[in-house]
Amino acid sequence: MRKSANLMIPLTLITFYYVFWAGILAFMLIKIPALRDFFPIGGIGDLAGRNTDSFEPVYSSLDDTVLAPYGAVRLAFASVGAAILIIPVSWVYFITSRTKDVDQSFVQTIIIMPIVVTGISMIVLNSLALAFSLAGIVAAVRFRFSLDQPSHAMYIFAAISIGLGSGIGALGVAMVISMAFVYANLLIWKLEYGKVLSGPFFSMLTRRDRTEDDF
Amino acid sequence: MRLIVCLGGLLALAALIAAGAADGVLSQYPLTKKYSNQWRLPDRLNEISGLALSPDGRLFGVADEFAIIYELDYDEGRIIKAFAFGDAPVRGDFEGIAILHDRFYLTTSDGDIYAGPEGSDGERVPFESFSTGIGERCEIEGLTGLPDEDSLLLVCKRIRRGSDLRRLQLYTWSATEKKLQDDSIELPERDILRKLRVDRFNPSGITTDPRTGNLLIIAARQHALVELTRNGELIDARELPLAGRHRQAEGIEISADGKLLIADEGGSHKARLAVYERSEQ
Repeated sequence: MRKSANLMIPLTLITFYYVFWAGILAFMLIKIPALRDFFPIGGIGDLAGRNTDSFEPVYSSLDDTVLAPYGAVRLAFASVGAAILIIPVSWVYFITSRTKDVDQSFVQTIIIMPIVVTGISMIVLNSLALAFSLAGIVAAVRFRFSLDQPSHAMYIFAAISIGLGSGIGALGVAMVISMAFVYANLLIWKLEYGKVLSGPFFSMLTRRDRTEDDF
Repeated sequence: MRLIVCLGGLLALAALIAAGAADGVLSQYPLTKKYSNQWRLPDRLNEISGLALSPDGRLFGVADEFAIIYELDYDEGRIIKAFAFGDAPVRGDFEGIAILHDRFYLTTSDGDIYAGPEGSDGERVPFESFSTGIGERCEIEGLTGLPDEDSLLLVCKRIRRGSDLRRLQLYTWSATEKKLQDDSIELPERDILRKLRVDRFNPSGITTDPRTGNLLIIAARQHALVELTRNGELIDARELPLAGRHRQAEGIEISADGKLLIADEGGSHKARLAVYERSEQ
């Protein structure tokens, strides 16, 4: 990560971005309640509501999602939602990136990944058979790539999480994941956490001498 | 001239048979995917062996091995509650469940009947047990209630070795007198076998249609559904078109709003509950 700078402007912009889209969503749902069927929200409630006493639908995982009459619309909304939520994650990458020349292919990957994951998770939802099929396909195409920095793995995980959240119809959860990732990253970057271990608190915590250079 | 008369007669007979079939309850159910919904049931219902509807329309089921009764919500897909007969739930080969007024009845394959009240979730309720004596003659596999007669109807799956029975029977057990009635009915096996084009017929569940009073019998082994009048005359018999969805149909019910419910024992898989709608016509 590059050296920390003033956080006020990016933080304000990002917060405004989230509030703007959350406001648009709330406005649309209030004005046109019928849109609720098309919007990928509330899915986490369905998952949480399932327990050992719940029945498992035999056909409805596909019937209720991608094969439903409005399945394609719901998937489109979910994909757009995933794209909207991953944008601030890419901004955080720009802000905190150690080098001036960011890896463009990596940025494009983390933007596209949640959109793809959204589609996959909507198809796989509730179907163990489809999940295993997916695992087989991934193994068959040998989907592997190396990451330049360990921190890049975090962005990949964030992209997958947002995609999964959108795909299971829990856009609210995906939004929280996105916000938590963005704010936590900015905070850690601003505090330059872990850069130095000097100071009274770390000396007390680690029980090491303040003057001790070589740990 | 005679030939024309014979052909006319045959046509009229065919039309009568077709009309008879159309009058039945089964013909109202297309039994296609379009008109159905199916659930996989939780593990504890893997051995589901019977279904029954209460007078207020709630669905109950019983699993083999223990006298534990489950209330099932087939719209939302969940177990609402479970209660048992006895402090330590009675063990047995339970094959059928019926509800008469506010009392629950279970039958074992040996023809023993257990009766008790409805309990709340997790409750162990007191029960009574009665031996019908049928078990020595045939293996009981289905039970349904006849509220108007305050009786239970038990159906045989197969005749036991050494029994004096020639045909599978439907037995009536009076809940008032607590004893078997003398008016047992022979199943029209020959007609059923001919219609289904099978060698054997082994009922696994029975119910009464609330609108017509006709009897619906399901046969797991033959993947078949049979409709009889209350007097045991064959109305219709057909194979389950979606046989692949019915591994071992053990329970059957028809709700007051006309939904056909079929429960399949899971064996090593999960049990299933299918809900079939009537056609719009």
